Amino acid sequence: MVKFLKAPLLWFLLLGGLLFLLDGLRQKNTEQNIFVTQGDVDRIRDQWQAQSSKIISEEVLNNLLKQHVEEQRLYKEALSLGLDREDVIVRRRLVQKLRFITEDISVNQQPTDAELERYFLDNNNNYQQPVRVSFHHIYFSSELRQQKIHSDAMKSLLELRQSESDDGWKNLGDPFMLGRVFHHRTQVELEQQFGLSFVEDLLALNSSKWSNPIESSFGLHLVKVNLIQQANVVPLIEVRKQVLDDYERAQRKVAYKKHLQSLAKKYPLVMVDNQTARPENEK
Amino acid sequence: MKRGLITVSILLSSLLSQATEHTPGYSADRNAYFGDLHVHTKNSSDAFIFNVRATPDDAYKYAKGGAIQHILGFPIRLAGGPLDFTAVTDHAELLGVFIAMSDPSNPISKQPLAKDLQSSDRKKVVAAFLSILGDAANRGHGATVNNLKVIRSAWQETIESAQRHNQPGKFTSFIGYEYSSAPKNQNLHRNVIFRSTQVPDSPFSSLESDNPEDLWRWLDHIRSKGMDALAIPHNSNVSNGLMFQRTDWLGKPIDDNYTKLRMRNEPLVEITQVKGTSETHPLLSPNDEWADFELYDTLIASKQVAKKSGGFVREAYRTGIEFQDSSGFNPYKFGLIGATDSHNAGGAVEEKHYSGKVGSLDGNANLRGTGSSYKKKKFGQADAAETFTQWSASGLTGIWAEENTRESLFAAMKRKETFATSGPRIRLRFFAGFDFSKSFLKDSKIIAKAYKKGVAMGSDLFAQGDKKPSFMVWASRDANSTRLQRVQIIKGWMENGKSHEQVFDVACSDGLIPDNKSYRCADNGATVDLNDCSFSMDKGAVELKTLWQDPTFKSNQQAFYYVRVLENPSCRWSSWDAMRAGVTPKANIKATIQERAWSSPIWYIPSS
Repeated sequence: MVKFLKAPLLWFLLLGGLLFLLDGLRQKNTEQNIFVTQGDVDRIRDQWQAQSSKIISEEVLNNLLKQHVEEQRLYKEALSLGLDREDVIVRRRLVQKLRFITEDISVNQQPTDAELERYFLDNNNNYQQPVRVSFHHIYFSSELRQQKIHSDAMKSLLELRQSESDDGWKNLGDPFMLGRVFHHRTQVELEQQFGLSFVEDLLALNSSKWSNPIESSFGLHLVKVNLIQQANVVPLIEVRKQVLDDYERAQRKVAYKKHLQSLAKKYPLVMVDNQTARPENEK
Repeated sequence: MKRGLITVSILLSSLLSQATEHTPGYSADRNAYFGDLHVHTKNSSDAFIFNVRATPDDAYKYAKGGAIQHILGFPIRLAGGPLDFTAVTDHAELLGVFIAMSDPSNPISKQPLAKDLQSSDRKKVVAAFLSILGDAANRGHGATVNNLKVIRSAWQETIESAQRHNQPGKFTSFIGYEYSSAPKNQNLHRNVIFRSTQVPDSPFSSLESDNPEDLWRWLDHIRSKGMDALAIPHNSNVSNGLMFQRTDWLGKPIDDNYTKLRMRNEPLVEITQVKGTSETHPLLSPNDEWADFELYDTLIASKQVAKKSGGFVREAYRTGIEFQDSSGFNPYKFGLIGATDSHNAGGAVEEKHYSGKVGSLDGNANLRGTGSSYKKKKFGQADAAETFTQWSASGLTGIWAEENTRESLFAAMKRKETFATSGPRIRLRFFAGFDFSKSFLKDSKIIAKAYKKGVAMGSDLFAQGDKKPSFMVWASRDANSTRLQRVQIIKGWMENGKSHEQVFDVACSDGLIPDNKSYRCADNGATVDLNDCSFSMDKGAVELKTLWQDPTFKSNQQAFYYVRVLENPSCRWSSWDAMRAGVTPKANIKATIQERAWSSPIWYIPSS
């Protein structure tokens, strides 16, 4: 009990309470007062303990409380002097806070299945699977064959058409660095590997027989398409998480924009002097 | 007991079946994958001063072929299509700290040093930036701004972003960072690339120690805890001769322990990037007509010209075999990669679409001094245009790996089966062996046989008596770039206790054949029209392939061999800038460039 009576915090609180009472008696206008609640004390203690992983000593706590009170006093005085106005840091922070609040309100609730489905259909392009092609090819190197390249390719084509063997094609033509069999490749990948014009011709093939020679950045190719899988949309269920994220992001954007628009009405723009520069979207 | 055994065997078999499951595109002959292992975002301290605000997510979006916004307000995108892999490698020193300091909601922004960072006066911002960096450099780990909490949160962002974008079989993202030691502005930077998600809580930076040997020891330490990583040095060209010295950090001659420590942690070196190419220099290789390629002369942001010896890759290979010859160990037996070092979250490797390196400072032709007007300004102590015009739209890493996964690519990097390009996606195979036959080149199983009968780039070839090795080179053009002009093998060897070097043309386009005295092919006559940057369409090869034997081979000499492939000339980025601005390209800048690729070497080891 004696120890308890020696605790500075106790005295601090008692004295503070007393002063508060006295002050309250002295003046009715309490706006100037700095209040320290049990909540404040708990918060300051918990924060310190969480950061340092130690039990706080009374000395430290009292010191922190002193700092807290001083900070509050300075803060009040700064506000009354108007130091918050025209301060770039304060301005940015307030703007940021408002933006977060506006956006958070907009995504407060999960979309209904119908809403999500609607969004998914409206933004189909984002969830499309690209065209994919599987094929074999026989390569004729323009480097090795020079002028004979076209006749060599035609000769091999004739051979293929007459041949009964399933494997004969593997011994025709020249080695190609990327191999003879391409499986499930996207248009972009193939454009990178063969050049643009080759892919255009490849996608136009509509037979599963050996094609006439097609030109690439490397020479000529006889191509046998196994499968052209057209671009298609994945069902919502497979990309639900991604769609949900995108939906939320879009909602945030819309809310923020709407808010800006309503504010534009509330705070109309006046351009002072005849300036040529104008903010975008403000006519 | 019996049930236990069955459970174990089921577990084992499921593990085994998992281990042999391949991603689409798997090939036992290995595929060439292209990527960039050196990209910066807003979390790098210097990117802050370049006004770059692009995130790690932006960097991966760009790498996957997407368009992102350049800070000057235009979209940037890879015309050559998506890359196969990428690592975001922000500077570990004060990682994410500047961006946090400029964020009023972050407590660290309340520090006195942070105040001027938020100023609208550019001069104040730069002064504050420099004083913070200076403070950090002087006081190292104890610097007030070296805020571990902020760094860990930025590191976490790096990790999470890499995780979000890693798609085995499709796109690989590596978790990584840059260790940025530069004593007295001499560049000793390394990128640290992690094999998996097993990574430390925070990166080891030069604020802990600017001695790279300490970085290697730290890498050893974390590896013993299951976090495998490797370090890749870059810009040896501006290390002032420190990158490939004959002595260690303390000035003692390199020994076997140093060699093992270094090679265990640094199997690769970045040979080319935006701040120049570090293959060799005309002063080091006076007989190499192509040594004068995309050179960058001065220490970074300084006027001091860097010392040449000790700063270039080819000389380092020579130093390496000299050590091997005299002392039995080789501290410089590394493979090669290329990267961009973009600070815009997206590397500009295409001459036609060059968008600079340092955000708002060099994002357009006028800022770079290659347009119609230039307002004189400084970059550090150097003139900005003098610096920026030397910069390069380079480079990329090629990796030969079975599949596009972290495990497969990382294993290939460790065995040095890598090559570098100055931007185009030239594919380059290189093997050596004693039993390669002539028919080999036309064989449809050429690659499988080459692996079986020989060794691939990055390997040692051990002598078989007096037998002469054959080298198989196969280079294939970038389908969307200019054609190939010639393939060269660069040899270094030991003779009478000294190292020597020689460039051999081994395959040339347009039917040209190397002369057997000069070892050169005649020029193929390919040209560039500087009015519209068009180039000869009728010259050059789509692929070049040959089986070569070294006419100067001696079976008792240490030697290394690496390949250099040259494209036909095309417009350098500065000429594209000039053409678009309607001005003539500046006379002191090379108007054209011969894009190229370099393989990792194969080392011939004579029997002792």
